[in-house]
Amino acid sequence: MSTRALLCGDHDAVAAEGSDLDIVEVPGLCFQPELIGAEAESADRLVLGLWPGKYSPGLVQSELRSAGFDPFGVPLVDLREADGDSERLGVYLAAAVARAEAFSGSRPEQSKSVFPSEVSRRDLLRFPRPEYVAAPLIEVENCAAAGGCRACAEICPQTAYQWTAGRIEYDKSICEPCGLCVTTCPTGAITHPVATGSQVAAQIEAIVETERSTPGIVYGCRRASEPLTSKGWYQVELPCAAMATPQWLLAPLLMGAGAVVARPCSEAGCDLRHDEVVFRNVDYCRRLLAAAGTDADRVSTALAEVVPGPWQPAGLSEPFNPGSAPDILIAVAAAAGATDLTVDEHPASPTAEVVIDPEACTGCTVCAQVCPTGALAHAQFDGYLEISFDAAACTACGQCVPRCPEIRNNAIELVRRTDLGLIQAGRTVQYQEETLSCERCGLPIAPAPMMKKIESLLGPEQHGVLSVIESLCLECRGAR
Amino acid sequence: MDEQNEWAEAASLRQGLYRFFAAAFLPPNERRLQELELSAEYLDTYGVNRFAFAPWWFGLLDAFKDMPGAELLHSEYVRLFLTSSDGTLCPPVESYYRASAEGGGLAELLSDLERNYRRLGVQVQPDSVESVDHISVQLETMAELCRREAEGASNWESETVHKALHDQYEFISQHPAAWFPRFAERVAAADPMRFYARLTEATDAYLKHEYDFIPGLTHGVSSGDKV
Repeated sequence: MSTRALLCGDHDAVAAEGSDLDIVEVPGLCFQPELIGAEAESADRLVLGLWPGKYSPGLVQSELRSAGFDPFGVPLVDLREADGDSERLGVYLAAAVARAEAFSGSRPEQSKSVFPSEVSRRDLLRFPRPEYVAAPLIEVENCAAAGGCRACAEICPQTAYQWTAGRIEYDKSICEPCGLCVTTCPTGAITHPVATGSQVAAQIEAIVETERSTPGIVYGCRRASEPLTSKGWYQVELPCAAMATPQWLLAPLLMGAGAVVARPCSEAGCDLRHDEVVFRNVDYCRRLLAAAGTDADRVSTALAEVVPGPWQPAGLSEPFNPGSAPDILIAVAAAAGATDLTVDEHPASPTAEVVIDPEACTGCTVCAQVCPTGALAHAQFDGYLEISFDAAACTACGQCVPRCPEIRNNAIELVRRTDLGLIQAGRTVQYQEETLSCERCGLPIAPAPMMKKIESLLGPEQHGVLSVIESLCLECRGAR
Repeated sequence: MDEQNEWAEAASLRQGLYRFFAAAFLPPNERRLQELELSAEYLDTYGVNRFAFAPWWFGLLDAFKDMPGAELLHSEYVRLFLTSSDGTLCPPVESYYRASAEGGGLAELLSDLERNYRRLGVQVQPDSVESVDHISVQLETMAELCRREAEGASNWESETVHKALHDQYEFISQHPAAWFPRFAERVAAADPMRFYARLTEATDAYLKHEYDFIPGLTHGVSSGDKV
């Protein structure tokens, strides 16, 4: 597979050592995107180096399609960020190539057309050349909405997701593809063609391998207007910096980067204003690093003048996948030489502790049924119902609490706190109650507290009904 | 090209694409296939690459190059869309996917569709062998609405353009966009020759694109009105 980089202008760019990247410098490419077709001929993958503001994204996308490329699979290098430094440009090109290699294609529904927000009367009937941005897509087979999960609907700032009767409806027209849903989804069912964990991982890996000194990674917003030119720091573009979860912020440190910065939306000139999420995630990471007894400044919202030296790479296999938090926390503790790692309750904690109050819980098991990752599970043993919890599988999505029918009695509590000991403890039983069995077939009917609840709802006048419910399972009741 | 014709031309291109896809889902014969191939080449010169569905359109153009003969294609058409001898039936009609799956009755769906045609001022030709819920009929309806949009744009009538876009969105969201993806999935799984799979993929990509695109265009006209 051959990869070519087309750069607008003259840069003396050199491909990274060991790379077979073919670099072609094309003067005037920004103004003449129609040159892409001829210059990209016979290349399997493509990277473009362009000057923002000097080209029409819609035109470039059109030419890429004509040349047989999916525009979402062609990373754009902002030439301003190279700042005239050919070595720096080489690092950015290596990162872009890695991202292109990790691109796995897009689907028709993942394109969102963008039109100008203000149209003057003069423009009334001028047909706008469409520009497309990548939009998320729910892989229905991996979605846990049928069980009651609606984590995407709860996080989406534009309310583009609606949960209705076990299905998630997605309205692309109001979505401002920020990607928060992608990293929030506990099962990884939401995909975004230009911001997958494997693309980000590949890009960071390439930066670490290509940059001579230890690099700093900056998660930046694709809407950012100002280029990043600070020496030693390299931008990894995301639909929004807020989609960088604590795992995404910590992972680069475990891959050899010296520091990580998430650029707040306001600083990046983005109008989505997800600053609060960015600050929250960064604050959690800083507390975690401090708790591990290491330099908290390695994760920040502001660039340091000098990037600190490398941390101990941990060789994690898939640090950007959902559910990677336990591995990352263990690796952080190991890198810092800490035996214990705890962070008190924090809204950005990627792990949590779930506590069930046996006095209030009726054993309906809705919490286990709604849990998208199986952290909460229920099982029937010898006349007993058990609900157990495994902190290592919990993503702190919090879906279990609002779905609990006994929420007013605080039957279940989720505390977003980090405790490595709890994660390593494995599955623990949170609730155990005797279950009434069917007099006819012997199958379980319901736990005793549930029966008590039914009794209180029916009242004494329904004693006859209650005695049937208590003695026969649903199937045998029907067969009476 | 002046500004208003730019919009009219784009609407005409979209009309042409709808007509092309509508014809492609009719039973194939030598003449129709030749016309389709020529139309595809012609439409392509009007800048399909501007739109995000272009890769699937290009895939269809490639499929024309490797197209089996009309006779073979006709038997494939019959196998996929008309008979169910080997259990691979994928009827290109709305009622197959919605009347049963969504609980509504066939009569209710068809009368709803007829009502929509009447409201839009279109009718299925009395000699048409295709049912009112056939994809070709629905795509022809969209083509007619694009023609109205093009006419409005040519005459600088923003209200006509706005109404045509509004009608397009209502019809596409209530009908083809609501069932075509399920049809496309079945064809993709059942077409070893790949020609109809490529055709349904391209049509599916086009309809999904239109479903997203039309509201953006409508918003553009509305915003202009307010200035």
